[in-house]
Amino acid sequence: MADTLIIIQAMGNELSKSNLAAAGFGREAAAASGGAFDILLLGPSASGLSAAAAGLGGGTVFTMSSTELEVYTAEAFAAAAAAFLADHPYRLVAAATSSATKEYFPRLAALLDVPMASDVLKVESVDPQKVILTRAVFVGNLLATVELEAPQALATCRSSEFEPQTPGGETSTVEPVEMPAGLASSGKTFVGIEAASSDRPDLKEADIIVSVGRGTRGPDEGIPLCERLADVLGAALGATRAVVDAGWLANEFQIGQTGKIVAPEVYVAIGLSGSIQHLAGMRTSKTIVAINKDPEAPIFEVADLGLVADLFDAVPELTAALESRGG
Amino acid sequence: MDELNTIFAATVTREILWNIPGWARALMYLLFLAAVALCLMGVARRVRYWRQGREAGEPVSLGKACRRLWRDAVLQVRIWRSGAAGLGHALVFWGFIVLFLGTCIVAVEDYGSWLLGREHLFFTGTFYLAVSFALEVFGIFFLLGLVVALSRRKSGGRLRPLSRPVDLAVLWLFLVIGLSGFATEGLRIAAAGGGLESHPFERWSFVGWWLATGLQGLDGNVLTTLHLGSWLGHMVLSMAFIALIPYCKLRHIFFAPVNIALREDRKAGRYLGVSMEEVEETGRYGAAVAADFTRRQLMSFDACTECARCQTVCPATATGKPLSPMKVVLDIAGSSGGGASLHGDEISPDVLWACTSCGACVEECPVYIDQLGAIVDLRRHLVAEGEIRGSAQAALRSVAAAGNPWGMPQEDRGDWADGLGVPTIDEVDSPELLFWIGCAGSYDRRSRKVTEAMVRILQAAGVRFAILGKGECCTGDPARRMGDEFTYNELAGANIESLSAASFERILTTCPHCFNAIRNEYPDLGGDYDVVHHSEFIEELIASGRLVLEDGAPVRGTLHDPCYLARQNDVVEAPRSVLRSTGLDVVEPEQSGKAGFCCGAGGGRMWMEEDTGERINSERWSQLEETEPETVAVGCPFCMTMMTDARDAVDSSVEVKDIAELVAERLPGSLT
Amino acid sequence: MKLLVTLKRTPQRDARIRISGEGAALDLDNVQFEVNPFDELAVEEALRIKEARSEVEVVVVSVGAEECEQQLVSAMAMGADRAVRVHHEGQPDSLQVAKALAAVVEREEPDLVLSGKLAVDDECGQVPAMLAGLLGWPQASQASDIELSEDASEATVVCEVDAGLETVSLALPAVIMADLRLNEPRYASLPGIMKAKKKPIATLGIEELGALGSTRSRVTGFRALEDKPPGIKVGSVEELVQAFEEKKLI
Repeated sequence: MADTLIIIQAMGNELSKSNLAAAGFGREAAAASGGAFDILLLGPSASGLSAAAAGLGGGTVFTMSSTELEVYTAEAFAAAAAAFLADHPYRLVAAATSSATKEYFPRLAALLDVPMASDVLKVESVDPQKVILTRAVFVGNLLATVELEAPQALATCRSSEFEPQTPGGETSTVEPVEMPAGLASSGKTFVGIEAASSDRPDLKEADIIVSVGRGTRGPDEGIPLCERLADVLGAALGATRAVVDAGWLANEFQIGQTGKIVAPEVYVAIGLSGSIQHLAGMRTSKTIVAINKDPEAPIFEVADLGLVADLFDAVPELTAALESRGG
Repeated sequence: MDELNTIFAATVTREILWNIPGWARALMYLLFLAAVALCLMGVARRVRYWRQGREAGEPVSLGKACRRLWRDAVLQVRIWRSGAAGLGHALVFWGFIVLFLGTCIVAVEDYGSWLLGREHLFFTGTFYLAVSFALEVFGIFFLLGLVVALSRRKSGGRLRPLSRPVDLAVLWLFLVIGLSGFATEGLRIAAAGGGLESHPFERWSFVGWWLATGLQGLDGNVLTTLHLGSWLGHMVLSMAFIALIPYCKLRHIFFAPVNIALREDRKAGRYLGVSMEEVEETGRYGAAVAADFTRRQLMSFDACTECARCQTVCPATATGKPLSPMKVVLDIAGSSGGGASLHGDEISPDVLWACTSCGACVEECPVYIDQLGAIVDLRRHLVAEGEIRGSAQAALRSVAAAGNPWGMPQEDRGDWADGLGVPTIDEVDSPELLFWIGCAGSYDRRSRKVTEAMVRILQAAGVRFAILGKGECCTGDPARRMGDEFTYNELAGANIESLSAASFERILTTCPHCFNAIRNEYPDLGGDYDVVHHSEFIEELIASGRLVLEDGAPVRGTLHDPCYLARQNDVVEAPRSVLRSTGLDVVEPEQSGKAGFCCGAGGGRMWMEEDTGERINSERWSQLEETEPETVAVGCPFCMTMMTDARDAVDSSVEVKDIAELVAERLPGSLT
Repeated sequence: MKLLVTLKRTPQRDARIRISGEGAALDLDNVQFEVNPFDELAVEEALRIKEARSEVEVVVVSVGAEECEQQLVSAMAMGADRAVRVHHEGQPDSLQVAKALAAVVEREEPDLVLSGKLAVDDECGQVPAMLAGLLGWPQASQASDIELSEDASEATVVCEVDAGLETVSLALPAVIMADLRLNEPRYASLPGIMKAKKKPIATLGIEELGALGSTRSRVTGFRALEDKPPGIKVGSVEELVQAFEEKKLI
């Protein structure tokens, strides 16, 4: 079989940065196995995205969509992928870590009876019998080498650790695939989604993130200051668990062990002390900037640039300075 | 002379119940019976309520009970903390007692003489005059006391009493009874046959006499009618009073002396433990219903005079928290008992978690109710139900799992000592001191500086000391104050094992919570040690000349007394004396020493959010700021944290330093 | 109604985890263990459902060696009615654990399986979803709210997804995975612990459960993160902006 399959959830009009990074994983895995990688687009916009996906360096781009895949459910996607893989076996099947893959990939692994590695950071080796990968454990404090000993294995990959492939260049063949009927579980009904719409970039896509902690004292005090800074920087807005628990920002802003794990070019941490759980979500950012009143805050231990100052003075000052530079 | 005596002996008296017709006397007896019945019923009801409690505690010896009564029921020492209150209460108290005795004398005279078929028994002559005079004097005392009580409600100081309708009603009831008593007497003297000249000895009842002279002009019939009316009013109100006693705050007349005399020996800084076997056997932990308290605890709650002093001195009440110690006590006493849960909207978790265990309520209560003990028992029930959440629960878990409330690794506990030349207990043979560091002193970066300062002091004084290092774990104080005896017992047990395996003369600690736990509470678990707080020990070192401090510029400053040191363990002078040696002559804040105001961190509150009302530490900081200090001295790591936070919240430049740090600054050759 | 809650014995959440020797294993000698915090949320949720209805049995299950009975007792101290332990001495992989749990589910026939969304040690987060796949049951993950219908035939779950909050409806039986904001677990204190000692723990051997397959996923080594070179502290916003420019961040 061709060695690696990258599954991309085709829901929007564009391939997200995570998807492009997953293709990067595909490239690495292919190189490690001495083979190639294919892409499976699963979802309503599969055919719409096929052209862009074809430029990512894969061998073949499969598209699979049906009414049962219109709305994402773990049951339908796992069943669809399992059906596809029954006819198209692969040595390694991977996808970018997301709230969706976190729940449907293990289900898929069970349906296929194959082992799986979660949120992989690096591909060490891919052999016909064994795949060796690196992932983080214990709240990101330790790295573990994981061996999956089976002819077929699954993995989700941390998109911030893999090079996003730019579409263009080599073109893959696009092959639509029929989805067998009656696969979706009738046990689940999608009721609704409450998503904040924003002009700001998505947390997982952004090059710059401005992240707020408890020190901002809430949406009536420091958060608007940080939002203005984010606007000037063209940054996404992130938050610590404490901020989300307090109800100041919705859960999709949470960065950390149990939120999103990000690694942007610049991470500006404002009024947040840097608990271990939060650090787990951003410590591999390229440049970490911290503004905090407390010189002993743990965030300064991982910050590349630190400013010990009261954010209520420093943030407006910084915003103004950047604005005047046409920042 | 003989002639006078004869005259006095025979005619110096008054007709008891003069001008009172048969129906009125019958009414009096009826009302009396009814009033006494109601009163006894009320008392019986309360006693029944107490009896649902558990048996516990040592009985009180007669001698001890008498000593207590002398101090607190006769001298009423605690009430005198407010001079006006002491005076007012004493006047009403003694006035009432003497007036009551007077009534008894009259009753004995009346029935005794009737029973024995004599005209008079003893209520004649000199005796009669003496009693009459005394009643006048004490009647005036009684009224004066009531006037003081009323005026204190308008303009009392710190310990100002409440002016609820019931409080004013009771005072006015007494006032009217007192005034009507004098009025009745005056009217009798004026109306009795023969005019004033015929019984000049009535001058001894000088108030009545004075009233009577003013009433001379009135018609005889008017006087007798008025007299009867006044007597009836006085009688009915007095009976009403008797009936009311057990049904309102007046019940303290009976129950306060009982509690003062018979209360269990409880101390704010020494909680009563409960063994795990006991809990397993009874299935009971903490107080869910009234029956979970001891009988004497239930009895104590009925002693409440509703003076509200505990409420006034409570730092939680003062800063707008829903907790009032008086209300908790009254809510327990007012519950229907039986299986009715005490916990609910009135005694809610918010109320119970607001307590800082400072003990101000216990220290202040004139009738010796242990409000803190009740709150702790109620808290234990919350913990038994798992009703402890958030950062408090996290702290409890950390204390149990990691041996300190911050969840720091146990193996790091001795790290602060790296490079300081501090030996562990196995490296020193029988040192003079075992220096108990405590969790804050080991892990908190600000408190570590205090530990280091103390080490410098000990080394400068040439004291042979050692630390337990990794063998030390949390004393369990946070767990105990939060209501988890299980975790407390485990930690205390482990520490007692380590301490008993070591040999040393005394334990030194810089933390009053550790100080209190090891000194007062560990003995209950078999760990008996001689413990000294660093302020006491430094005082000893200076007094004995082992420690000599350099002179330097005087510092203008004040001291924030730690609750667990000053109020609960009577260490008030030592810190002041030590501070004087460092050039800091303490300018006392309004509330200091045993009357100090809590920093807000006790009772496990260090690990809880404070989101209602004003912050306790900010309130304390404003009090301290009034002394215009350059430096605020503290003697406890909790106080250190709270005062520093409060200082930072107002961006003040006042220094907050521990006593040890201020002393270390004056060590010979010190660089600071 | 029967609720089954799966839990894992994990190192105390604040514990410092050391690598032993050359990194082949972890030094867990001085480490205390507890119920995986996410599983504790699941236990708490099951208890709340039990308290809101009549006749609900809460069963907790764990796969592991004898030590994990401590954690089962903790869960029963919180209020669970009884426990089941599948005895396994080694380091089973997620799929093996899921298969063992599936066998327990087949025996117990619960109406709902609750689990934490991930374990704080390996953070794989695979077992509950694998279990759902093996059983062919619907699943919901990252649950921050769970409501059961009156007749307990359906569960409406709010899930914290990347885009926001997604609400789904599941037909029971189902598998639901708890996330942080689902609830705040109660403290298991003294009287609960006393009662828990008397509650039953059933032990099942693997042979009784059928084939779990071989262990195909294994951790073969650990290493610490690379130390980051220390950052610099600037003294003012101006300096910060300068540093931005130097690093070409803006």
